[in-house]
Amino acid sequence: MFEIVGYSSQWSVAPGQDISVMVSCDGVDSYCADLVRIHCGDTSPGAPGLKETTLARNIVGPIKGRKQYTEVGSFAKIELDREVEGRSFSWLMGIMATTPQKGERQFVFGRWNEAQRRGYGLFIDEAGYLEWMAGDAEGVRSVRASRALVCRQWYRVGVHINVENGVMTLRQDPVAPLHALNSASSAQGQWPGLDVDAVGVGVLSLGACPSGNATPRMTQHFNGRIDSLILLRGAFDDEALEQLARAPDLRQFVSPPLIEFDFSQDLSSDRIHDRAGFGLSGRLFNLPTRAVTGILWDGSAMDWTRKPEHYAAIHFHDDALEDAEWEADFSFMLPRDLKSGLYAIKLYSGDTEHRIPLFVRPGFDQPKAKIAFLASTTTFLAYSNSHYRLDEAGMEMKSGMFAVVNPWDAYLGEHRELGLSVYDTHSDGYGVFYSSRRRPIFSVNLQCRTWTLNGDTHFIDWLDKLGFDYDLITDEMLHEDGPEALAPYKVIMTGAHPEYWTTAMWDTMVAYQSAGGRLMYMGGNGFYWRCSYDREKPWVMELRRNESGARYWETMPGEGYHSTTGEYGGLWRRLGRAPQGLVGVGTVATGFDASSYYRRTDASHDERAAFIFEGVDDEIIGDFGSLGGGAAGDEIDRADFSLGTPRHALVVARSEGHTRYYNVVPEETLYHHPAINGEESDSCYADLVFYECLRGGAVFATGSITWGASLSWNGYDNNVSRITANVLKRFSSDEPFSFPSTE
Amino acid sequence: MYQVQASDAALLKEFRDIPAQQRSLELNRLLNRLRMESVFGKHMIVATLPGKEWAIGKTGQKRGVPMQMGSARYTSLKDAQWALLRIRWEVHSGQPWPVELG
Repeated sequence: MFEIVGYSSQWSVAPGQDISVMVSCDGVDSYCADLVRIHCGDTSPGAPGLKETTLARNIVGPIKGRKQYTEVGSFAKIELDREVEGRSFSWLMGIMATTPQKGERQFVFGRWNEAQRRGYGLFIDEAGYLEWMAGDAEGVRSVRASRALVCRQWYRVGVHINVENGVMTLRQDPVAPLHALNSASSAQGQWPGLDVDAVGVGVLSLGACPSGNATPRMTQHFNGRIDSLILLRGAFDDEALEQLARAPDLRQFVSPPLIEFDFSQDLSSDRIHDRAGFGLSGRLFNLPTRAVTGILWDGSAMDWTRKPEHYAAIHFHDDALEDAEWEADFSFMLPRDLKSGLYAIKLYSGDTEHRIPLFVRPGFDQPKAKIAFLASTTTFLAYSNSHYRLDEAGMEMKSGMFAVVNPWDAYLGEHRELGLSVYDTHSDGYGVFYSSRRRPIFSVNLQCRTWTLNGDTHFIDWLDKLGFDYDLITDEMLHEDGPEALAPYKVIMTGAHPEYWTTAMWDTMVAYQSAGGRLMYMGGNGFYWRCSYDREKPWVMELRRNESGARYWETMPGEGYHSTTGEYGGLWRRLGRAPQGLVGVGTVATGFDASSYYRRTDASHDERAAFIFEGVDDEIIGDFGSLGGGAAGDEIDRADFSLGTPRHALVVARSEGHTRYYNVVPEETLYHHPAINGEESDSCYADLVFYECLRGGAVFATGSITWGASLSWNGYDNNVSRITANVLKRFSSDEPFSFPSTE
Repeated sequence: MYQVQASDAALLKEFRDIPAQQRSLELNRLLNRLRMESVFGKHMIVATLPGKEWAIGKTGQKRGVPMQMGSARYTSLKDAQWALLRIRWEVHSGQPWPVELG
């Protein structure tokens, strides 16, 4: 598997649009490409299997296969475009190393070429000691600190280079000596005849240095934070070093700095700026983390927009990735008359296949269907290339089963150059805040785990099988187009797991409901986290796991506000918009060992709900399915009137019989206690909910991720399919819903 | 943290003989403990052919290192789980696998 891997320039595309396709092959001499329409991708036992229709064979001729390289690890580059005259200089900066004892050299900043061993730079050696190196034709000289850096502690660091007498001085002062093992150090070395560039023209880099080789281009990646970068003329003294304890506007140096990078400026971008006389600028690569606490942070601000000087740090990671930068193997224009739906570029060679999905929106001039299926592209991007089965120690125990490493897990585990998901931690243990679409994304693969896109193809399959006419729309459309993305449709049907929502997406859905739209929320754990898209790079999403929620990492103190938008992140529930207010239900529990069924309630016999159960006499709903054996499972939601479930909502069925490996989510338990598992909790269930909205709209919610995987059971002849069809037919009809009388 | 007792050996055959959802609390406590371990040097079930064939592999000592695969192949997930249970028992209990369990 994975001898062919690729990605496209866009996910959400329109008929007639050009796309580029980037492919890497391993052991494949050449491959062909077809355009296929996907009806189902899930080949798990009991699932409908792979179903696709070939629309165009050999859209491009056989393409020569080649392996493409991916450069991973974040860094910054600054163009030093002028000579700095003088023979004595000092660099000052704040440094916090997060893996000082990594066992490999790490480059903090400088102008250094590793292959040539020329230039100058500040390094951390294999044992975690700072080392300043200067190299020229005569060789390399270095001065090493006498004490190792302590992990996750801030240091004020100064380096003085006196080219006249060859003296180099390296000093580190811990900001918190008690917690940093009193690891202050001042070291000096002297090399008469030193004739190296103390500053020099060229590219200054931070977080990694040029290797001097074709691949990798950058090497010795640094894990940690850098706050400020200052160049002074002459030697530095105690007072100069202490200026790092002041906001840039309040610093006082004997003479104005030649260079002073203030990383709190333009914090939402990938640009960095020099506020001193040279006015230099630089650029960040591979998404180092911004809006993180710096050397000044003292807890007096939690919002970087209020005290940006407390957030003047950039956190570099050796495993961060924004853009795989693979060259396009070919471009392809989608047919202009292509019907909206889920398609793929199918790449194949012999028995090896790889499908790159395309979410084809309706053409601008095409008539719209009454039904729109909302593909959770933002959630797919969040999951992207998850490693939690291999990297998260508690995951196996939580799941209640011995974990099984599938081929895609193993592949991603070995191929770390494909980057991480927002479910992962970086190699230094810090949470991953950003996920980019510009790389192969495994969460949109087919023929894999029943999750994300592969899981959602159960709905596509069902819609196609039952002959419903629908358009496919995406989260990206809601975010970018706003209400006009939803306005044409009578009903919006979500997938199994619409977990991540930007503010724009949420507002769009509220506007749609307010105007009388109908929403079928067909999943669980939906509408859970606020996320954001980078305003300049719409392929990058951001997440901050604040306060609570089912999460594998949490945001560090003071870092709850998004760098891309300045919004406070976290659960929508904690932002005053619990999902119960939008869809009637919200997350209550997660569990992955087995699914369960729903039992109809007395409310299910209310006349208002009659249409839901037309043709369904069973009291037990969904005690079958290819995902855990039941329609209620994995991640489940329940109604809660105190959180916003409308008072007139009908809970028409409720699940029961969950196992003790289902656990109530943290935000549902104000204090932990023994009865938060599925066997003993009084609130661990999924609710099937219906209610009317104003202006003729309505909401139906299943509160379960596994509902969709029950649709095809018994040849699509089952009560889950029947209920779903009843609701979809009613919701797509022109007949408005009447708000129930309160008289 | 619960420490595995030698007497927990009596629970092992329940893993094989009783469906997962009917297992005893004592067995679940033992299994929770056997599943709480470092991600490095961890024996895990690997689907060599998803749905058809499994093996036991061992993770490396750092991220990115390929798993070392054992030579045995199992044609049922249940057999692979039983084989892994034996490994985890011996690692975490310090006790030999009961002879009567084969």
